[in-house]
Amino acid sequence: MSFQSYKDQKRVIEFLQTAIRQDRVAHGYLFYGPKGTYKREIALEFAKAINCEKSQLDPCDECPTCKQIESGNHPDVLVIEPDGNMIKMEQIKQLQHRFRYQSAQGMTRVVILDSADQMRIETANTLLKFLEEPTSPMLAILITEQEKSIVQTVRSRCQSVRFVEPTWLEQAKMWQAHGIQPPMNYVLAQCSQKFEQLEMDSEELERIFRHVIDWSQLLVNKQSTAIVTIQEPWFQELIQKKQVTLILDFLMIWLRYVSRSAIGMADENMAGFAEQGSSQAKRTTQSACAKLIEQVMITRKLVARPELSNQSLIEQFVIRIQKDAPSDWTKLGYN
Amino acid sequence: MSYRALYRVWRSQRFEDLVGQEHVTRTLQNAIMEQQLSHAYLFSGPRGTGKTSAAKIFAKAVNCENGPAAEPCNQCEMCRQITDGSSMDVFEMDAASNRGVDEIRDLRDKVKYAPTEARYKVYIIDEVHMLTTEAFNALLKTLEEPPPHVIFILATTEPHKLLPTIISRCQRFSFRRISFEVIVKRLQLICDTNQIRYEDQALFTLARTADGGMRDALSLLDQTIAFGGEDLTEEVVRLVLGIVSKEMMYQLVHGIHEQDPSLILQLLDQLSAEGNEPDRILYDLVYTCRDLLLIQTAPKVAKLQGAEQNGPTEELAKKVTTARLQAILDSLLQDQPHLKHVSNPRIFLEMSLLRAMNEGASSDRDTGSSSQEIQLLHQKIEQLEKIVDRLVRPSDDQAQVIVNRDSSSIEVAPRKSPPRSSIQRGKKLSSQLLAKTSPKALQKIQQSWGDILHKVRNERVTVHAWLVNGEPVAATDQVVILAFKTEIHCETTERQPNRGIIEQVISQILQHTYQIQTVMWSDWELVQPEEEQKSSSEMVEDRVVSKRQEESPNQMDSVRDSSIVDQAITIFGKDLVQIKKD
Repeated sequence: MSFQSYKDQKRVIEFLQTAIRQDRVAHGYLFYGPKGTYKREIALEFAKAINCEKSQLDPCDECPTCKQIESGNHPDVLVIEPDGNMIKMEQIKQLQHRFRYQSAQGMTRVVILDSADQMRIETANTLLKFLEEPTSPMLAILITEQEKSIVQTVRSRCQSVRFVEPTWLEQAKMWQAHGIQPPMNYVLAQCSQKFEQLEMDSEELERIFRHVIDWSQLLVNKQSTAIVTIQEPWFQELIQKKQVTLILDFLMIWLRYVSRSAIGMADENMAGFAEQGSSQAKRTTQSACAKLIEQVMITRKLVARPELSNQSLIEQFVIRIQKDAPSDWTKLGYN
Repeated sequence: MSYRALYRVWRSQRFEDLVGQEHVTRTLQNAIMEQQLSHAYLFSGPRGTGKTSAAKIFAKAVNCENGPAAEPCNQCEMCRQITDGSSMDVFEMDAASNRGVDEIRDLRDKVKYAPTEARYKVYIIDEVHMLTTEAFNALLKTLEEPPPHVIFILATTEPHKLLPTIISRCQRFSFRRISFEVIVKRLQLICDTNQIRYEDQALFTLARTADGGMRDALSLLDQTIAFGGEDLTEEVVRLVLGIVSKEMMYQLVHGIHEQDPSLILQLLDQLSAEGNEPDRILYDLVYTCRDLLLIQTAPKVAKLQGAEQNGPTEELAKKVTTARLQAILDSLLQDQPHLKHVSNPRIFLEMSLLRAMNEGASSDRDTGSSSQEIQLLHQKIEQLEKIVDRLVRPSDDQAQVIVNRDSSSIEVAPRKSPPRSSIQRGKKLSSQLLAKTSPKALQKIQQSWGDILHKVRNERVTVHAWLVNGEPVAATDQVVILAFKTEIHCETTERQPNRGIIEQVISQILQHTYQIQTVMWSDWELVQPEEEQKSSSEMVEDRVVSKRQEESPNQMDSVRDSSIVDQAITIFGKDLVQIKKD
């Protein structure tokens, strides 16, 4: 493996390579970006590149150092992961102890903190001094999904590197690689669903999507029968399987498509549903759809909570829409 | 030695380097000069404001061999030892890693011994808020009455986490966030020294992102230099920080102002394709709006804050009213906290901007309702003036009469609307009115047609039931043409008070008075080919022709012609009638 295998993150790699070329590699980096953007893999490649014996911009993968790092048993390249739920204070203390003295081979030590947000504030604070003024040449790479989830004092000591989320089209290709055929692969690309959790084939997904489209028609027209749909077998089955989020995601994507069709900006990649989209778009407006989407988003968030019953949440959602109730973000209970 | 980060290379070594904290440095310097040292200091303030640096400089200043002086010499053995951290008498303690009671006990035991070389033993306890309560309490006694040769300096970003008993034993200094201008100046100095060419705007952007932290600013500078080399342009800064380009932002604001949903969505699509994060886009948009507000209300401050005041900015600032900007900003700020929590931020962002677009407008509506009424009155007056004009002018030829009748059917139609036959309607459509229709006006109607239907339904359900069968097919600035499939729907919609209700709703929603004109689909399809022609390049020509016709008595014939044709079609059916012109 080398940098070249991660083409999606061209900008990141360019940035890291320029830093190496100009001999301006900082001692703290914060890699952040959504899941599936190869943050950890690129961090390891970076560790290889700065220590590669052939000193190339792209790791050679042939020298002993590269090989050792690749196989994960290089003594000076450490990956720290949450031990259980959290990265423990003990782990950081050990790390500091280990890094106190210069490494034997005179190389730059690398520590990669995966899921660096899974750290208590106390632990994060332990990092502060260590990050700011390392005693021996070293490089710390913190990896997280949300930049803001890292304490500000730690962030201010690192260079933040943003990993770009693949575009919907690229994600659609990934779904296709997982065996989901068009047009459903593009629909799924827009959802925040994960490969592992989805155990359905394209036909089943499309069937559900069509159901959702029918349902959305009832919702948009505020028809009282919308609540009956929840009792239909396909809906109940998904509730049983705890996959209500899939319905809500589909609904959101469909409404977005309709609202875009209403102002003549239909997404070409959804051409398969164009007819239904435009017919529904005629009977509603963009702002009405936006209101609905907002309700869907709130419900989507609530559904993820284990203590609440999905069935009643969905019913409440339908009733709120029928009553044209204002969307209430405070229900989510964060500041 | 491997590469060292800029913020370490440029760590302040003298009080005068400690920019932006003059209130602290002067007090400390005076204390040293007057020999009135306290035994415990507490430095608090946000990250990157110079707390640790100040503590180190202070330690040097009191221990300097050429001192004690207001500034450390940084030359003597003592100063150098302290700078590289090898002094036996200045301890820098990381309280976050050594937070237990054992470490503090250890410290307490060693405090007793006199310094080896320096005048004072200085304990710098960094991140002191991380000490456990037990450790704090163990420290209390020592902190209150340490031996005379000891100075404690506690540094923290979160002073509120300290026990009040600790705070009351220290002299407290609050470090301020470093102001925008000071950061910019410092960055300029560093760039000049490192021989890096820079654009002012690039430094402004960096300083703004740093948000009051000097270390953040230098980190970011480091990062941009690492990416872009010796040339520091705004482009590079934007790339590294993932900031959306100014032009895009102005276009977005423009789109919101103009209430053009398709422009907004197009821009957002483009931004997403370029890999911009939704929260970053929203953040930048908020800042752009704020800049525009600043330019409008306090141009001087705007300049100091680095808000660009070039052509497009000024133009935009002039176009959008302050109230509107505030409304947009308000709406965006309300949505900002939610963005982090939703599962699909991109869709949320789209929605949020579209809502900002509408909400801004509604606030305009609230404040500007009187001006809207005035506008309505203006229109009415204009119409009346026209009529008066025509009445006053002697109507000497026939054509005048026709024009008169024609325009009255367009403009004053609602007052006298007897049921007409479809033939008459066809005639009306084929005249002047069609020349005025424009696809743009139609689009405007179509976009809000759903809203109109909804509102009509709220007003009166029966009217909605009639209206729902119609569809807007063409529109001018004053008239909307609705096509119906069945006669009864068509007629009933046309009748008062139904017509009045519909027109009223349309004017409420679109802020413009329209009159509705009903037509049968079959009739509409007849005139449509003509209509399509008009939208092509012939349109101008066509209009010229129709004008000429108005002036000449020929018009009469053409009108009669078409009505005859219409009649023929209704009698014999479309398929059997052939139109021949001579």
